[in-house]
Amino acid sequence: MRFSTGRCTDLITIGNDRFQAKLHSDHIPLPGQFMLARFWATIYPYVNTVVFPTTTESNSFTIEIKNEDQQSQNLSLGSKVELIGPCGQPVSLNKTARNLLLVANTSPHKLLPFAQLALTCGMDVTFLISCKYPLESLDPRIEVHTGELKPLLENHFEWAEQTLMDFKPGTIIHKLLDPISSNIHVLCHLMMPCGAGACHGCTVYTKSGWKLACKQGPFFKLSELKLEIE
Amino acid sequence: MVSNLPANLTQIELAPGHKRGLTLNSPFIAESGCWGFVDEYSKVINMHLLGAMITNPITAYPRQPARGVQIREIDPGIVLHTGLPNPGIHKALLKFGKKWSKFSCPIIVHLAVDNPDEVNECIYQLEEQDNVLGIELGFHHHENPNHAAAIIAKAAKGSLPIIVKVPFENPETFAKLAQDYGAQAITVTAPARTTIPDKTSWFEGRMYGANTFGIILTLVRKLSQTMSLPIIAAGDAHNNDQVQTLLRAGAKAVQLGSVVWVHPSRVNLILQSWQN
Repeated sequence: MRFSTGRCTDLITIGNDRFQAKLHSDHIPLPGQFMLARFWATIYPYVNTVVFPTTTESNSFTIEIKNEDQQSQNLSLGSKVELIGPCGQPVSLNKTARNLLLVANTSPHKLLPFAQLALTCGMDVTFLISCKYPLESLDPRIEVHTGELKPLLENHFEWAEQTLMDFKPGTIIHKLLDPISSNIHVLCHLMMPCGAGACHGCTVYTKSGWKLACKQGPFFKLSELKLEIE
Repeated sequence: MVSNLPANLTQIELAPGHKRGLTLNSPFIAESGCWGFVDEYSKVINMHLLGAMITNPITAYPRQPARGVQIREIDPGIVLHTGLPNPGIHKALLKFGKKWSKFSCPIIVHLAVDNPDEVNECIYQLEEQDNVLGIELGFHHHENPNHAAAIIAKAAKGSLPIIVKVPFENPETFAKLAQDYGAQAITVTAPARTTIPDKTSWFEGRMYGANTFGIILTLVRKLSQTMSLPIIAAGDAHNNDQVQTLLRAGAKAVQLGSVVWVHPSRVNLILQSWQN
């Protein structure tokens, strides 16, 4: 973890409710890692924003922001962003896997670095999405299915050699995925104030004791997580 | 302890008259609950410029984290309910003791205990730990003052200096208890608590970043005129001006809290300012 200043070098509108901002930075998060970003000079809003890259290059990464989000008002070409990170643990792709399944129920952008990496490695990528999203902005090589997640998962989970999910499965889906849960990583926390494992505000109960999402996560194996009663 | 302080700077004594004393090279202290147990911020903060680091709360026995939602954003700031997860004093010493003994600044261990027997047991184990210079006692915000008095009195019988972190809700009573029952200093105050309506129940926790600075400043001024014990201010100060204001108001030292989450680079500037 380091702190640094990122500089916005590009802004690309995607769809009609969001945009991507390219930040030039010395520190680049790997897939699964995040940065804490501060878009404003004032004390408030207080908590730094957790940002996941959508794509990465050697000296820059891209983040996605909704127009309605407060940080959108503070980002323009050339503007500076205070960054803390990379935070958390990267998630490696299984070297022998030939296909990757990504699942999101809010916005797919937090999983996009995995798609980028998988496509570079020649893997097939399938994305199950249950929210509105400008699909035309996604790499055309990604096979996308939209709709309710449970039936989508029932049709796809069995062949997936590695799965990453940005949604917390309830009891029913958890049980459905149980046979392959060791190949599934779940994004567990989105509010991580310190990013350093100091505030203990992002603890996750696992089968091997409690862990800190900002240090040991934020992605955890589904097979490691303790099933929470809904 | 040999001072490596530049010749033009004076040391801060937080336990005058105590046999061990509690002498710091800087008035800036890492606040319990914000910096972790030892070296969580070592890669980004110049820890050697801190007067001391106060650990996250440690209890007599292991504690699990709170289940469910632990953080809520409020305007302005956040509310945190962690359940004070920690491995308990015995495992904490095994896990962190080596690092504490070699750490780049002195360590003060924050103890959150339920009764006088527990405090006795914890302090007994901490007295032999290298580089632990003192104990900060934390109390539940609705702690019974008589019960707290018994804990402070028991802690004061040990050989380490005792700091009492007074609850935001009852600062003057606990400050007096600290003075009457043998503590060496007080921290003013623990974070304020608040309640937020939840969907079906309530969410209660410690507030950070919320604008309690003015309240803490008022308390520091008031208590510094009525108390003989050194006062350590903990009011979520966010910049050098606020820190200097707390020192001018009568604080002998200032704890830096959640500013380290928000502006770690600013913390380094504050720490450096004392050297300059």
